[in-house]
Amino acid sequence: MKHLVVAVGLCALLVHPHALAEVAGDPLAWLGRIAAAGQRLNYSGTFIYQSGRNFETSRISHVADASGEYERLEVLDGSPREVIRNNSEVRCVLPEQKTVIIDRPGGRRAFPARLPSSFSGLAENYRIRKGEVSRVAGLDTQLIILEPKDDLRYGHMLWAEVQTGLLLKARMVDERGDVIEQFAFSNVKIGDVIEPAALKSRFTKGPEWRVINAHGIEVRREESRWLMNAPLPGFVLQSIVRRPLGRDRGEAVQMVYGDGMASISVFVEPAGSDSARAGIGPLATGAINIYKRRVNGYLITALGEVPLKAVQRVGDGIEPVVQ
Amino acid sequence: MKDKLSALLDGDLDEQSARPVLDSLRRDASLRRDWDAYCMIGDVLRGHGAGSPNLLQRVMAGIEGEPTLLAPQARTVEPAVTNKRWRGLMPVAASVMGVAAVGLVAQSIYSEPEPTAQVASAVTRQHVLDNGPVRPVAVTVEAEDPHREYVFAHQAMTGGGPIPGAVQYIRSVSIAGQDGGR
Repeated sequence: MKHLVVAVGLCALLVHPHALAEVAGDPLAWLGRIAAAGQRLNYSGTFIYQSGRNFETSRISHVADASGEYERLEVLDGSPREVIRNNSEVRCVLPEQKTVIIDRPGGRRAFPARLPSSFSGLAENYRIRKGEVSRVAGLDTQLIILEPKDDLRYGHMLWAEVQTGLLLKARMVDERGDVIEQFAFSNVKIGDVIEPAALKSRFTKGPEWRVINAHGIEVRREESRWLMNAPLPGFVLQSIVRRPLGRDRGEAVQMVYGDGMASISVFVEPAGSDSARAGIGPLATGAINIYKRRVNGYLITALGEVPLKAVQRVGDGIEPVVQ
Repeated sequence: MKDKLSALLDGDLDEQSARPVLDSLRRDASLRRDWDAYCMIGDVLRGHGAGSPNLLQRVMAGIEGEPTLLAPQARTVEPAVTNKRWRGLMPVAASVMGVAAVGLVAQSIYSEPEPTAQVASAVTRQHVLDNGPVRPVAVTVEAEDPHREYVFAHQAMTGGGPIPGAVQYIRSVSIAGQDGGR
């Protein structure tokens, strides 16, 4: 019997490489699989997030059942921070700052939901192809490469688990191929039962905590008092929302431009004294480039996971609508 | 020893290996001149100007003028991280001024901060860099990142690219990428 088990095992090993060479599907179909897998699968694991030269380890658990999607992400390095998602509500808990940021992104959120409608735009702005099959976190993955067609966006490399399509590794690269940002599972379990306790926040919000409600109110395009005088190639206006800014900073209008993969947000808010401390001009926080300027007593903040040149052009292109 | 000096300059020494080199640097004037020369060579190779043979002296003089560089006030703003950094500093507390000098010298070579460097001097250098002689509270990036809410709102609207679900929010909560202004 033992021999039989060994023999079967050997056969499986021998057959395996052939199976790998035949991972079916065109690259766009793979993007669809990735999108669906991220929403529908139960998974838990540890991933490493890299931004520039810095690394951070986080643990994530994701559950999808008939009642919806539940998720908890906990940063394991440095100060404790977590993200709790309960269907459409997302909370970022920052216990050291005694702050919770809450948003209800609703149906319009996230790559998985919006990808199918953006396929055509994606192919206009990126050359999309399949790469090699390789292992990530002990599992075989298919590499999908999105190479930008101009210098207004970064390149993306996506490693999707062969059987389920779950994204196990994602890398954003600049024009030289240098890593701007990467996330990669170091271990992952797909399809296991996840205990409800794994999805509960570890922190209890005290009365002195600051709660920032980042919930936005949708604004119709024709009601927007700001417009883009010089559209950025490949980026289309996806939505406009009004958002409370908290800390007595009033309200901001956020315009979101996307190319199907990357996106740029432009925030327009009254330029109070508080906003001055954030500085004017180009800034960056990790993979996100930020560009700020003042116009007619308003502060414009353009930011996105795109090259500085792109946020700068969008930031400079926004102007008030002349009534 | 010169090999080790060079390794220290490259950030290749861990804390344990760096300590004896730093001690030697403090004691040995000729070694400090070597260090100076290496720094200058590094500067020239990287095209950062001609450098100066008296860099260390100038740096030390600068430190004399800024005795409270490693401002303890950072502790009140960012308790956990600061405490950790200070714990990291304790083993070299006795030679902290010497280390700070090395840190500043190294700063003159690398145009960008290297937050992931492992050597003891880098721990101090991070402090020195973050604080800078004129901005002693700039270590508060995590506590006061003025863009966190913007980034959060951005992620909420866009999904931040292909990264699924809550993972996309890592940018909002991560401090890995927050080097401040660039």
